Amino acid sequence: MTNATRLALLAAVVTAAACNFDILNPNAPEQIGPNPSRPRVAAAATGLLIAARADQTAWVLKVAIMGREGYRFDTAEPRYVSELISGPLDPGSGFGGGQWATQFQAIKSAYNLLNVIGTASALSTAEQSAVRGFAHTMIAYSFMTVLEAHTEDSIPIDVNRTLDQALAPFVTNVVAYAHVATLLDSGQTELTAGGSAFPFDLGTGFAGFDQPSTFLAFNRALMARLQAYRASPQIGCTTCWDSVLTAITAAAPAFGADTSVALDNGVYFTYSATLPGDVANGLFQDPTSAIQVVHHFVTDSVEKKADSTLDNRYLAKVTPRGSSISSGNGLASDKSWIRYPTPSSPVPIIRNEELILLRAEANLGKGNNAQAATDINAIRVKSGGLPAIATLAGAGAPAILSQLFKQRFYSLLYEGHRWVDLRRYNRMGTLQPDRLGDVFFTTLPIPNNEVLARK
Amino acid sequence: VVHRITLLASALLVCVGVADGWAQQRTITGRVTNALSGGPVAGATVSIVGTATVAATNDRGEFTVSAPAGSVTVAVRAIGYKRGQASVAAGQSSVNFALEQDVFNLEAIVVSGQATGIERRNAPNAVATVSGAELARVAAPSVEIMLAGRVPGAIIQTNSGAPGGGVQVALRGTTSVFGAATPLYVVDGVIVSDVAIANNQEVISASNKGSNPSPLQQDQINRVADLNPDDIADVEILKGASASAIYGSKASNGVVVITTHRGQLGAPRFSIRQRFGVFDLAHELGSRVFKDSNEAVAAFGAAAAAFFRNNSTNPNWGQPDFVPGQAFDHEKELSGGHNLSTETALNVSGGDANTRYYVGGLIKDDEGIELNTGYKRQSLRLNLDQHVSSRFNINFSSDLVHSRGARGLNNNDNNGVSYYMALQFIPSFLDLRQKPDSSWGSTLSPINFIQSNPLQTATLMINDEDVWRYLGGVQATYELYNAERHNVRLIGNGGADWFGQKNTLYFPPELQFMPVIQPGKPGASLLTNGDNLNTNYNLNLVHTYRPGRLVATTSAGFQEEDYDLNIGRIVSKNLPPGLSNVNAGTDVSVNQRRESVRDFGFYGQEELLLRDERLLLTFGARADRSSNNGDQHKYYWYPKAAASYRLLSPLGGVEEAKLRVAFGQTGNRPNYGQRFTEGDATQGIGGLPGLIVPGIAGSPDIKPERQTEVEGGVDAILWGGRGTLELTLYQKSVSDLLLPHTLAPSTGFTSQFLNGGKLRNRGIELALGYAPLNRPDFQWVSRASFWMNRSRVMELPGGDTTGFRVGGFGCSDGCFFLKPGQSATAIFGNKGLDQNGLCCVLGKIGDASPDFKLAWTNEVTHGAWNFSMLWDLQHGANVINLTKLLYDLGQVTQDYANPLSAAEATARGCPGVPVLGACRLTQYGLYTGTYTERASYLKMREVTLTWTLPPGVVGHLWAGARDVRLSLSGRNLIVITPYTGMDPEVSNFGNQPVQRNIDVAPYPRSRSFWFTISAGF
Repeated sequence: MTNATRLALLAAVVTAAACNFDILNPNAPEQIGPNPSRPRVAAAATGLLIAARADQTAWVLKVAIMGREGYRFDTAEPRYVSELISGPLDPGSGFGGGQWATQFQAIKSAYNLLNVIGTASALSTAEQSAVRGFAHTMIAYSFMTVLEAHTEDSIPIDVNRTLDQALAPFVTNVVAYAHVATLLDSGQTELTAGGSAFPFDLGTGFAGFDQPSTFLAFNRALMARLQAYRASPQIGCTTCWDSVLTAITAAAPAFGADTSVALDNGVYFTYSATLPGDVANGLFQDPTSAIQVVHHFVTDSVEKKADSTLDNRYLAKVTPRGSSISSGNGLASDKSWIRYPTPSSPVPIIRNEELILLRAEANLGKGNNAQAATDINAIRVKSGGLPAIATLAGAGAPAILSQLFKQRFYSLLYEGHRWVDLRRYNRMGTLQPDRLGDVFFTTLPIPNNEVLARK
Repeated sequence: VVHRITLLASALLVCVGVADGWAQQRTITGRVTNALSGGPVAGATVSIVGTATVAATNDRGEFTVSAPAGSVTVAVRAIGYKRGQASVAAGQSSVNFALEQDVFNLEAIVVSGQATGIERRNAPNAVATVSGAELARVAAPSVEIMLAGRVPGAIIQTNSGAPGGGVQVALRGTTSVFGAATPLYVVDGVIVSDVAIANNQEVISASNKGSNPSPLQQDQINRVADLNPDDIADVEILKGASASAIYGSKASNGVVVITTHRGQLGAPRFSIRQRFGVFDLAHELGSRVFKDSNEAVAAFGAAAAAFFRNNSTNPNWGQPDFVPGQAFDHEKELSGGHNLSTETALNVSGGDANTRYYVGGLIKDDEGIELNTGYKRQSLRLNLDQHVSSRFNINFSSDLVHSRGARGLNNNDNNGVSYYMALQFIPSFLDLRQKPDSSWGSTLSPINFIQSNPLQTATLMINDEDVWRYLGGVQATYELYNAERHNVRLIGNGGADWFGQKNTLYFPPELQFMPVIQPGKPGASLLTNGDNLNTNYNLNLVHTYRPGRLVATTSAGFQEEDYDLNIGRIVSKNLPPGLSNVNAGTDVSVNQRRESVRDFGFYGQEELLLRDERLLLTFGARADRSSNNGDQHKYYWYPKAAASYRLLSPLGGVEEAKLRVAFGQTGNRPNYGQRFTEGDATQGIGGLPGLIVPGIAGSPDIKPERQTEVEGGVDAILWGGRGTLELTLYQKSVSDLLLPHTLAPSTGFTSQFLNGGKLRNRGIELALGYAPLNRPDFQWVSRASFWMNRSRVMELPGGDTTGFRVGGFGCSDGCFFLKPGQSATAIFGNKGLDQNGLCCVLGKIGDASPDFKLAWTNEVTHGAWNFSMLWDLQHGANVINLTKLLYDLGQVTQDYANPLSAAEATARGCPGVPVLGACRLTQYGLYTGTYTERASYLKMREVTLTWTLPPGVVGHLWAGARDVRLSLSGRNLIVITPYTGMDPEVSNFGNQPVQRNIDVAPYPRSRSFWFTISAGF
């Protein structure tokens, strides 16, 4: 019987050895879980920047095409000139169906961090608060992109849910805008209680805005933009103009919000073609062979400086392509972009120049035409090298608005604003189509997968 | 549960105790011969019924066996012969046996469980058995293709014509959509890996950058190709859940049980075989011949005229054999190789009563038809059987394999670099060859046809796959108790299967396409190291009870399997000329992928042979868990039950008929990683690493697919064993399919794999065997089989009735589309404009599965001559021929310029189009059926003529030789098919449960001719 006992024992041993079935995934880390360590919090926080950046260049390009700042003549992908210019927008494609999944993925990453940050015993209460403020601000930023792209009243906001819960219901854009304002205000409160330093590094794109107290300025700058969008005629929250001015005042210490401070001062997404895991700026192309080219509207309306040379902003962003390039079906351009001159040129998220223009817009909205004119003229002179228009303050609101539009066009050219601006002032119809049948969209459709999943 | 097994084992041991063996008191001698020829039967097993005593016959057929005093029954078995049995009285000391040949394997033992077997005449399932002798008749790139046409119910097809293998084995229809596609391979009790690791050529070909991002478009070899067919004694194939249930949750695609040769008692017996052969391009696609410069200019513009000028402005100028406007046969230049292929096999077998050995060695060198392609394999096997005591036997198996494959650059590509992808855009008037000044014909200047010159690519590029593999296993059988009525054995199996695969790819900066696809960074060196380790063991307790009226075999056991895969990839770009080390590039990226899986299962099974061994009843169950399941700790149960009944002489001419029915369930476990939500940690910003949520959500509830199979049939032995019939009907249902589920993107995720849906297969298998002649000087054995399978998607998750695309490229090119009511392998495509004049009506345009298959083998032996052949017919499948589409787009299809009359053009739906190729192109996109072709075929897969030298001649030449044979053979010598592509057997995506039969620039099909000398001494 000893043999049998031995065998039984052997059997017991080998089967006991088999009991460890908790095989973890060696290829990728799990999502951030309870009581995250300091490096895990840092990786998750940096992840929010990466996730928010994921769609940035594609969005800037799409705004440029739909707002007729430029084209992309890609023989391998004709939808840049078909779907985005003559439509119809396909909610099943990455074009018509864009600015959704990537943003909600970024939002999901942020909620994953927010859901566990309170258990992170390695972090002080102030640090936890700083992380919360950072995450709420980044969620607000991603929602703002969704809202800029979609004006249908079908935005899910209550998305901090698990997959086995029901889908977040759609709300109207007005509700969604208010929700984003709440998110930014939560961020403000949390950043204020966030101590003197973040428990992670924000990288060079946030230089000058990388402490809770300075990041707060970024939060307020986004608030200024958000409130201006709410205030503009498309939504028409007239009381929101005051909120714009309040937010700009709060953002001023870090940005300047003043022409005495460099207009480029602000927050950027950085890119790199060489750093590990990083991506190159897709808006960069060799200007002699570029397929991302400039729309003639940009050249058509450009003003000259006193010395007869063109607006400095134009000269800094546009250059002759060398030879003309055409779509093969009626569109052509002989100008290339030099707005992003290298693969590692950063793309602005928000900068001082926009804040000054937002202040002008808010003052105009409130009827403070003189103050609006002062800021607009300051931008003309400082940014464009153009002469000030002495009569602007007395020219009346419509003329000031037109001038504001023009300055926004050139100051924020190829930075993702033109199409949004045209829409929120209901000005899409003022554009002349290049070809019969070209369309000016006012919104992207809700993606197919979102609609189908709710059926 | 673990405790329960241990208790069970202990309890059994306690109950039965250990009995003493019988004292052995006398010896019996004798001789075993072939009843037909009178020749000796070597290696036959002689046993005394009711005892554990066995002996084997020597070269002369003689045996000596110990027996107890008193009258005993002596039984003799030999592979390929029917059994012999005789009573030997107390005083009798010798007995002779004349065994009849068992040409249809009627008395073979077939697998019935992890550690049990059953005689074929009782088997409740249609288990296909193929002997090693049949397999090794004609050389083949890998072992699976040797099974084609020999297994009713199996669709076995090569994925391309490349040397070294890459073969899909699908048993009884479609058993999954996104799960594992290949059967479970078990060699001598050890599970061996059939994983296919891609070589990473997609870095250069961008094959994953199109509308299908699959990484498996690289003509990868599934690693069961490493097995040496010569080592195989027999292969048994369990085709579905009713037979394979006891193998549990990896067996839903069937199980291929391979047994290798074991040592034979006696002096060392050597066999040596030398083959010489040659591969030959079997079917040329051809290329359009441009009759003059006008035709070329019409197709490619004014610059094309240069190729027809008789001066130095002609880009072809400079070749010694320059002729303006000459048409070149690029295919022949690329794939016209006829280098000598060789194969040397040597094996030795021998041993004494306690120790037996088998050593098998193989050196194989297949020369591919494409430039610089080929496949080399060396293997060395040692099988050692040790009789430790009368109760304890250990069998040890060990196989060391090295293979080296060079498979060129083929299959789908989005960079214009794979060979046939480039040829699709290169007209025949362009000379691709290297000129005396060492420059190559340019495909970029003066006309930009395509980036690459395939002749230059094939000459300068390296794409090598180097694999070292070790398969080792031990089987130990311990007889715990043996008495007249009871026999209790403990059988343990354990083994390891390790391989290291190294892929070395080198694309020197001199390649014409390099500056185009990697501007500013010419040259690329890719290094992939794959490391795969499978270990598994099982322990089984088998109790046989023979009270006289019945035989009851009870078995129980457990099994654990561990699987580890580790793939490291290095990509190095921008290399200096002449240097291929990956550290030489300036742009280096690395990637690592690991997989780790642990499975554990246990089972119990009862087999009852009743009523004079005429009635068999079997039932059992297996429970399995796997670390791939969402709940790793949960056991999934797979029951089985079967019955068969033998009717003796039920009809005139029918010697015996068996009715059988079997039921069983198996699983197909989730793919590795489906349960994990893999945080994406590969990205960074400004040098800072970040962690973000991925697009694909993990599935915490993922579980195995479940297959339920019921099969029933009749087996009959006709005309005194000269004929056999095997008829099987089956139904296989697969539920809980692993399917991708699209999520609302606002959840933060885009998709998730979930269980759901159901598909069904129903089929018929009919196998007939007939030996019209069975005389000492003339034997003829013929086998024919017919089988068909119909699959049907029964339901999809959420009551989805519209279905969704599950494979292929865009549906306008032809895609695989899962839709309730349709075949699971249905090919969908556009069928013209809809009623509103919009593109397009999407519908079924074909099917990757054939309507039916037929196979026919014949073997005729007349004196010293033996002739055999194997025909394989497939009727009715379709192939999506994108190669042809691309040739048309390049305007170089052989029949592109065939003129169409106005009436023909109208009939073809392209009124006014003057030529055939242009007409087809007008249909592209609108009517996908234009490029979806019938893949029916009739192939003569094997033919062999063998002459055995007369013994006298042999004796003169070589005194020690036992026999010497010469043979001529061929593989795929005749192929008749309406398919216009290279080969109707093709799969751009490799082994796939559903998305097969897509033809995108594959390695071309070849036929091969062989001369073989074999000798035994």
